[in-house]
Amino acid sequence: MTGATTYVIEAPEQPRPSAVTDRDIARAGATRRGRDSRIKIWVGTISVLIVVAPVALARILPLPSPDATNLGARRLPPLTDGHLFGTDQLGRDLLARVLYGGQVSLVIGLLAVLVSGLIGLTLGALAGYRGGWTDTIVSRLLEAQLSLPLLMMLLLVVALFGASIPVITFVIAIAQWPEIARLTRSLTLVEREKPYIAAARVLGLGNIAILTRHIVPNIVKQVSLVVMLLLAQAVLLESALSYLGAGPQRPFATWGRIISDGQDYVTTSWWLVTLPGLVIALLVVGVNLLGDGLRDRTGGPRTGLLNLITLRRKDK
Amino acid sequence: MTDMADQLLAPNPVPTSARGSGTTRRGSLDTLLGPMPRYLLRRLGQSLLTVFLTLTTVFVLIRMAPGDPAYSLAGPLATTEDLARIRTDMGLDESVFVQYLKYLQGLLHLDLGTSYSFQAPALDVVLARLPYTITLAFAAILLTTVVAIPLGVWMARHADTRRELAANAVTIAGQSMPDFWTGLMLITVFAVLIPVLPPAGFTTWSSLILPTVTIAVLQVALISRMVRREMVGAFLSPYITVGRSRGVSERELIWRYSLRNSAIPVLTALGTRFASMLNGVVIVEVVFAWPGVGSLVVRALETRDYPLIQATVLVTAILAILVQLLVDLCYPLLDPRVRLGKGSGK
Amino acid sequence: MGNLLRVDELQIELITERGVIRAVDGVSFCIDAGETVTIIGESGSGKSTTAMGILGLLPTDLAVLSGHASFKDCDILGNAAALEKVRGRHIALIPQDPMTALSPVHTIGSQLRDAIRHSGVTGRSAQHDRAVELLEQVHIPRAAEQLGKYPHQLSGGMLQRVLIAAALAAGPELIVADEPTSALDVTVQASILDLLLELQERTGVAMLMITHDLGVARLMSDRIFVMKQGRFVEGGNADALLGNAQSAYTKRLLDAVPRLDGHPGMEVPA
Repeated sequence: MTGATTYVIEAPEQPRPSAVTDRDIARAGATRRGRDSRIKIWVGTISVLIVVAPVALARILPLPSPDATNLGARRLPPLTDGHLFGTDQLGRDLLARVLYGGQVSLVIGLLAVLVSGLIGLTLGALAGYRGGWTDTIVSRLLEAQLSLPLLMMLLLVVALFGASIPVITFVIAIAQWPEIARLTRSLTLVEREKPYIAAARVLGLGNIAILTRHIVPNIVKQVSLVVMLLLAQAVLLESALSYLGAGPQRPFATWGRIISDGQDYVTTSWWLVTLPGLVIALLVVGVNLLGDGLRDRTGGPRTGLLNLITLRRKDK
Repeated sequence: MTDMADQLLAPNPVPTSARGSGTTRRGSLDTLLGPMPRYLLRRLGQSLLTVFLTLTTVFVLIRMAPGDPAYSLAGPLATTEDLARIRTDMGLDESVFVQYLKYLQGLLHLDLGTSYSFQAPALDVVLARLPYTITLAFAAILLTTVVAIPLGVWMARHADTRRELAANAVTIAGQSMPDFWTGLMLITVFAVLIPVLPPAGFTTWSSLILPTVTIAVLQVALISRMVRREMVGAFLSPYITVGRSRGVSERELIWRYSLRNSAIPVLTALGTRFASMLNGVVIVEVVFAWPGVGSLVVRALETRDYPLIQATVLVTAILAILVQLLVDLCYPLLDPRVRLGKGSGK
Repeated sequence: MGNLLRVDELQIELITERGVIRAVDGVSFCIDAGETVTIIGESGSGKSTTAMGILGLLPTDLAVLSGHASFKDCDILGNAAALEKVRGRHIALIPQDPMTALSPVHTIGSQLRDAIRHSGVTGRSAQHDRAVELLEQVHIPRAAEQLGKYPHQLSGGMLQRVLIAAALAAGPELIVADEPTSALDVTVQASILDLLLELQERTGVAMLMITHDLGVARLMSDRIFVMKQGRFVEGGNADALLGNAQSAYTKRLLDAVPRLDGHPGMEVPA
């Protein structure tokens, strides 16, 4: 068919019918991912609330005092005599201990994450933005810390300086700043090359202003996702420390301590160890699910879809 | 510890110095040596720096603590002669700088002080128990690798299906349970309720099972998720599509191409994870009364036996750094881009 | 007359988070043995998607294909079994970006051997000889040496030649070239196109060329189709289209190329 003229192909009057069936949509990757992330976000949020709400409201709830010992009611199993979680070896209500202890655990976790977030964000942004010696020093420090088995050094610090809330918060913050700094640094490196930053410079904005008014607000969303996940890690770390005896001293018995107290009775009174642990697990699972679901939503490296179709270079 | 964040970072846990930390310092070193020696030198330098920082931090910490460092290092039963001797040995009457030098000197002679609760050189006490810890760590790594990699590949191949969602939930649960709690639960079930395994100590080789599984639960959860992430990323790569167009079978695309490309970041991660895995080992040793270095350090904390704590910290730090260095050295074997650098393209 | 490739009312819909996108909306064309048909269009017009869809390289959980496509009278659209037989042996792909089209941790040689093995050659030494032969056909110097190299060690132009060699391994009847020169330097583009022309002359292979570059279309095509937003708007003989375009869109496309031959354009402000 080699004519000397071309032929024009007109658009059809009626648009062609779609061949996509409901089954196709149900099986599509995008649908499934959306459904998965929705499930994760919902289940995660509920899970977190189940733990955080009672802990936050502990003082309002009709609970016995967590320190009230009652030697006549020792090691009662759950759901006896109005003790939802049972009692421990000194007759103290376990639910009350878990909720009040949770308050301390969560406060420590929040504070630690706040401190590490600030340190990590600042150092990471500076390292990423300024490069040169700042970057070298921060990066070397980062890598050094990340390659150490930190728990023992943290225990050493607590042993030397006492197991008070400020010390423990500080210690957990030290453990977590590298992750935040590393992420901030990578994100800053990417942002720095974008045209709007060059425009800002041309407009005469100083470096500090660029960092605080432009770069940080654009990366804060991704960083806060990590910070949220680190909150869960902080709670785990705090419980590990208090399990090992390096937690806040009594009467602020946090979750790890409650578990280590109940350890000797693990054969006879299973609830002393199982229930507090379940509470921790529930909280951390919730945060992780929530974080996973949120991350799936915001895309990220997922946008390789178009590249897949056309085998196009990603920077085109 | 801070492992979830790994998932949000770009899935390239390449040792930062191999990528150049974003600032390529084109010094004379780069022009004199090829890419491999350059890489090795950089990794070695980083490791030495880390060792150095650790030593210094421990030094500073002990000096900074409230109270007289001499008391800390001598112990509660010290006599005035002991205290005086320690003071001169450590140069506590002299400037900090001199103290630091004496400290370093002592380290070079492998003198890490004397543990007063054991009445023996701290280093010897630690080294005596180190093999137990290494056995446990090694068993955990083995179990993790054998389970996590096939699991991760399976999850990648069935990504976004309902089955995988369930697996996803299980792995999230696995990394959310506090390791000491997992250990206690396992003891309850397998050593008490169904008494098949010993609950504590190192009595028989089967004592190794529960502690290893406890550590592995967390590690498998993390590593399998990472493998899944990497494989899914590899699946999306153009070379897989082009390979398919060349007639390469799906099986080969998965096992020969995707897995091989995913192996690099996974291996790197395993190396960096060794340090955090040691944290888990410490806790598990306490739960299971395992006669290793972890339970040693916790006991030392209770008795305020600082020389012993110091020795443990230093030895385990060096162990972790060595492992990471070894993994980093293997890295060029896997990744030709690092091994060969930019070649002679026409 | 037996067409090599026949495409009828091909429709490709993509299911994304934002809904169903119709990337290709009823496209029909055919390719005869030995001829070069080019689809040109802007980015996002759906031309690459068309090619990928025909070859069955779009992810099944993303794309819904409808319509017909047959190769040598055998139905291949959505037919995984038929595609497996045809891909690599009868229809081969030359991808756009050579730098990412090969696995970075496997040597050039091993990946070339995939294609050779698929074409039926067995035995290490026979495969090796064939690999060297293929590399020489695409004018790669010191062919035997290059087999042991890794992709990052070669330049874009060299890699593209390797990919062309892999495509030729089984002696296909149709080559699908998806913007084969877009990712290359201008200086290298010409040599790759020359190579393709030479191979076509020697082996008589048909080509489906996808490009956005009018210069490439001008050089390589027997027939051209202009694609816009998933549809063909005009098609026909290459000279006719390039000289005598009828549709407004095609004319705009051709005018968009700057010319050096005194075309009365805008005055440059002093």
